Amino acid sequence: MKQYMKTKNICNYNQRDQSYQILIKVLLIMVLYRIMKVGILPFVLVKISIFELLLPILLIISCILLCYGGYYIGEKFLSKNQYKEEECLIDGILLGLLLPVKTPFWMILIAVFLTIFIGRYFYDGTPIGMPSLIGILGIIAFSIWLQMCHLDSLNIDSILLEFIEGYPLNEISIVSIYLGGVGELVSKTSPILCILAFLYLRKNIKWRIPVYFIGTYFILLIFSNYFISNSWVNIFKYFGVGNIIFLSLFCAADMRTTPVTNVGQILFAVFLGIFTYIGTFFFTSYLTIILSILISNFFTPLYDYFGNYYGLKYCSEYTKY
Amino acid sequence: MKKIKLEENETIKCSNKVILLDQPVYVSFSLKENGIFLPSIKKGDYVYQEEKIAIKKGNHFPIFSSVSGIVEFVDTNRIVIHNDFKNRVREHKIVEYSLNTYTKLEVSSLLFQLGIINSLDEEEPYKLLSKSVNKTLIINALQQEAYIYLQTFLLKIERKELIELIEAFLEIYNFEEVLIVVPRNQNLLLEEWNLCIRDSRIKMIEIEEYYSLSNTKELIRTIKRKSYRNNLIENGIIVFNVSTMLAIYGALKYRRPQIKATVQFTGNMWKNNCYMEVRIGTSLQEAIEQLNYKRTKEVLLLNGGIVNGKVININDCVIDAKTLVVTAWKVTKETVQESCIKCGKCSKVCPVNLHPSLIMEAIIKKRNLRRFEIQRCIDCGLCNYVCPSNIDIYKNLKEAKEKIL
Repeated sequence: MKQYMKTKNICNYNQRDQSYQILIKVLLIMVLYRIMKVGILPFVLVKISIFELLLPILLIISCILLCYGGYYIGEKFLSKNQYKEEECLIDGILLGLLLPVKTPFWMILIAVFLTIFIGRYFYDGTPIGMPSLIGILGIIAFSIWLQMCHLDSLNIDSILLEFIEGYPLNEISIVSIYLGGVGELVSKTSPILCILAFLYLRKNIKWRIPVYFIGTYFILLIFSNYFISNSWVNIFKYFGVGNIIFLSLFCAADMRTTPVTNVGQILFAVFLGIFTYIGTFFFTSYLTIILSILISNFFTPLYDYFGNYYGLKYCSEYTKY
Repeated sequence: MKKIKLEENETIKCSNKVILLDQPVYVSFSLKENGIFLPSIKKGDYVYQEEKIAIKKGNHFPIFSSVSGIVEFVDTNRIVIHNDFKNRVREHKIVEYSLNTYTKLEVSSLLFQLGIINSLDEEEPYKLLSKSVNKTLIINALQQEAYIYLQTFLLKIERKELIELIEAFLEIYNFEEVLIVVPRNQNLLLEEWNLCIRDSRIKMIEIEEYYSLSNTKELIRTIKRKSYRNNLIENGIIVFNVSTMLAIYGALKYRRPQIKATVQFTGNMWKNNCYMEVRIGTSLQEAIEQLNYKRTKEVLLLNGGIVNGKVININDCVIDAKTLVVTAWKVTKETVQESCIKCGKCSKVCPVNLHPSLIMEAIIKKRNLRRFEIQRCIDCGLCNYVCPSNIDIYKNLKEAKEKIL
């Protein structure tokens, strides 16, 4: 009987598209919640103008459209046949969520350029870090440079406020943090909603990453609290205020930049927790989590190396046929 | 090993009907399938049913014709015989031999002379049975994959023949035990068998099925609660499935080669999922004409189940003694190979804890593969089955494994 070597996947083929669709749905629900909380409600109560209501929506739409533009240019001239349309959509939404709502258009352009061309197409088509975070980090660095050059006319102070200066935790109530009412980023949605999203997405993401990361970070915060004697409420505020849960969730959803092996994922999450903890001494929690994720992404092959080694070494004897 | 259970769609059921396809127009025999065979006939010759038509290069293991007729085509790859529909045999008289009278040597010699092959991908029965120490005989009637019920079905309908053979084997080889492994929840089958079993060494074992049990070593580990790292035969364990047992029975009882095979036709595309008894060498096209099969681009034909089946071409495919199942599956979307997204699903399902996506990356980037221990791969095909990007991981793994070994 003539046979061909190829065995085709015939039952589960649509899974890839389905998991992207679920992810996009969850992202959109989060966006809607945040817009409802800080946009529509204040608008109804006549606290903000219609322009302020539409600003976050315009930001997200422009990010998605620009990302699609970048994707089509990239596919035409630099195609490595790796990047998918659904991933481009997720990148666009994430970028829109992570940028401050008052970001100028030229800065969005730079962020999209960095996300698509450095994050996705650079280095043989394999992303070296979470692409949307590369875009964000790029514009932070660019803003700092502009500020150092005293180009105040470009109105970048309000943007840097989100990234660099942070918020006085003592002045914000824990309830408003956990209901998602702090900060100008759309991504600063309710951490409770993020936990619900995690429970819904757990089969579509690498669930070990948020679980071990938050576990490690929490243990480290409790441990330091023992010496510094910070208030317990502040520990929970740290979690809520700086996109930590949101970003850990979507970092785990970005399959290409995170480890494949179980041990690798645990190592990744633990070190991410350690980097984040160390970073909080120097930067705001938002900037810290961005930097920590990008550093951890960089070490992903190393985590996978150990993951593969220990996975094979300590697996059951039965499997060593 | 991870216990992965394949989900089944309850709407796909197989009837217990056996369709007989006794008179194919042509039969074809591959000469390169299980080694290189040399034809012993030439074009235009008349061959009888059950006549030797080719022998294996090296050990002279034979292939027999399943019909009588004129040789239509012979080359180094295949032999095609045009059936004259007369079923002429050289020896008309059918004699029934007593199975208890054989010696070990006679059994092995007869199985070799009659070209009885193992339908599992293991050594041929004559080799397995010729070893001096035989302690345990395992008869595997498990499902192996989703939608495959052939072995359990044969165990149901061929009970008398199988018991006769098992009892003869107990006498000839003095096995310590014969274990018949059946899937769980087959109460009726168990009752019927238990009523017929007279020897206490014959035991029926019920097992909760999971996918990795298609690997013989894993099956034995589950049954015996012990793992064997070296060759099973050295430990006195022989595993046959029901199809092979029936072929051995035919050879010993009537001293005739196997000329027919029972094949299950399954999948979501047949109008009637059923079993079919066909002459070995029948073309697949002729067989499936019986099933009102409509050819469309959306259908994938597989020799085997939906996980580990190999894609076959309807035009140049024939049914041989190793063909147990033909699956026809409707593909809803065109399957295009995409880039790996490193979702890790292949690692998650791998029964032997390999990381196929990392291995694939190392193959592409031409890195050293030794650290991945590819030799552990048991060729289960689950990595291919779960891959959402439709990457042919199994093929690459197999090539890499061959390179390393």
